[in-house]
Amino acid sequence: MVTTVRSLGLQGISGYEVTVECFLSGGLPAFDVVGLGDTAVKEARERVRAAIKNCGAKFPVSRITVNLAPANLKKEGTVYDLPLLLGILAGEGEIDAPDPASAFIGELSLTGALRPISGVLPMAMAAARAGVKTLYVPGANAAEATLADGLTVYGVENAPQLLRHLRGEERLAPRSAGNRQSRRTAFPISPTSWDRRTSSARWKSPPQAPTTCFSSARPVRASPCSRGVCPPSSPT
Amino acid sequence: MLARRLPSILPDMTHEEALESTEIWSVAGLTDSKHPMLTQRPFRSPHHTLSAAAMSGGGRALSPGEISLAHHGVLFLDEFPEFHRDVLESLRAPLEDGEVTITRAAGSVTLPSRFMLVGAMNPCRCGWYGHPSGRCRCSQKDVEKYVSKISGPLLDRMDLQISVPSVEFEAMRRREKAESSAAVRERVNAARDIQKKRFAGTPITCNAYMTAPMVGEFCRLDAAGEKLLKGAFDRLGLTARSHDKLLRVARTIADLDGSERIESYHLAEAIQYRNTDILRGEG
Repeated sequence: MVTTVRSLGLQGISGYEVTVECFLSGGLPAFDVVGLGDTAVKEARERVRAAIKNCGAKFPVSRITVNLAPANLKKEGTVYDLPLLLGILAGEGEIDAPDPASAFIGELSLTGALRPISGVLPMAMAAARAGVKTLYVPGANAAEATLADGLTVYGVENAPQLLRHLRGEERLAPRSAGNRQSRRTAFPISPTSWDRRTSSARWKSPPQAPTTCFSSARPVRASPCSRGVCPPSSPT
Repeated sequence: MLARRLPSILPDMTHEEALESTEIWSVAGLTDSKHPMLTQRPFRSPHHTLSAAAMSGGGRALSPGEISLAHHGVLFLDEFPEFHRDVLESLRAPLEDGEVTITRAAGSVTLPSRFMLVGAMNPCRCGWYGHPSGRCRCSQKDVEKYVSKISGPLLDRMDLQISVPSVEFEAMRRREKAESSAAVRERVNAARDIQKKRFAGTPITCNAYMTAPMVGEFCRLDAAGEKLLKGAFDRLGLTARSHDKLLRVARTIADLDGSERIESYHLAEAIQYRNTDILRGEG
């Protein structure tokens, strides 16, 4: 039986829809992923295998063939871990086939937890264009996915949580998008030239209040720098 | 130092601009759960050792480069002549088109790259050329060689060229209250509002992106202005590209002034930003 799970891919900075087809058949046990995946996609097999076992489910002893359609476009990254897991579990009958109006993206850890991925916003926008109504993303990416209009976004922390949600045992709460203005004020970002990896401090403290010499934790001397030695990080 | 203060006077981002920039940052993996959206214009200042692929984008996954990460923001290149020649020349097409098309074995992608390019450089290798103290020890040939690292076509694409004299000690220590960035930013936003009204119904939002027919329509000069422009052309040896650029800058100066028409003094100010002798080896 072939189960299909909708997912998304990236080409440059524009997203496109990817259909993950999963076929469980008799024969010698094997697990193949076709559809021009890169090394990260090939390695997804090991992550999915471990994640399924650590979710308490059984990994099927059958010949598994997964196709990432359209099969002529190169697929990159760890986006397909989650749809692969769902495709296999649906093929095995652990869960019902996912709703055709929903799409899934996310990287799995061996424990079944979901890890953040990059390029979520373009993919979410592509999902909305393709008619997807519900998008499941890793919890850390949920805020970004809500920036795309016309989607119900669920932030998923781990695979067992998602399985309970899909079985209807314990529903997740959708992430609210909020209106445009509140989104802008709710998500301050410091667009400095520094990379997140090299200067996390700069990113963790978005410049909102004018820089003062002394932190507000010491109100006694919390006056703006009069010596002009503080770098102005916001309009001064 | 001056250029790093630039973000504080940049105009506000529209929602559409913010989404476009965030898409690029998202693909580059620069967003996270705490900062999912860019709400201020990006300011990128890559080191001069970066490669052409890092500048324009590329790599196995065709990921965006610095010019795309600076989309709707500022790309600041400190020590401009120290950048590799191919890196600098790769800026030419994106500066004109506002996008860059990268073709590699993996395929071809077009990435948006509308950015404000800011370059900073010394007048010569030792840095003292033209200083009244006469401390420069570079030969004329060395100076020319240093300056010639910036090619003519690239220099021609620079709207504003300003030589900044060294600051005297007294001026540096004087604690005069200069105009605040917030006040400047208000003026910038006011000029932007004028431009938004002017270009309502067209795909562009500001003077810099005016097409040639738009320049003809919105940058009309009076008789005195025409005469001034002709004089500048003959004297400075301007190109057809710089003609349009000059008029765009004059239009912006008039907008900042709140003036409907481009007066001759607006044009004169625009012309003087193109007249940096030191970059033409005549300092």
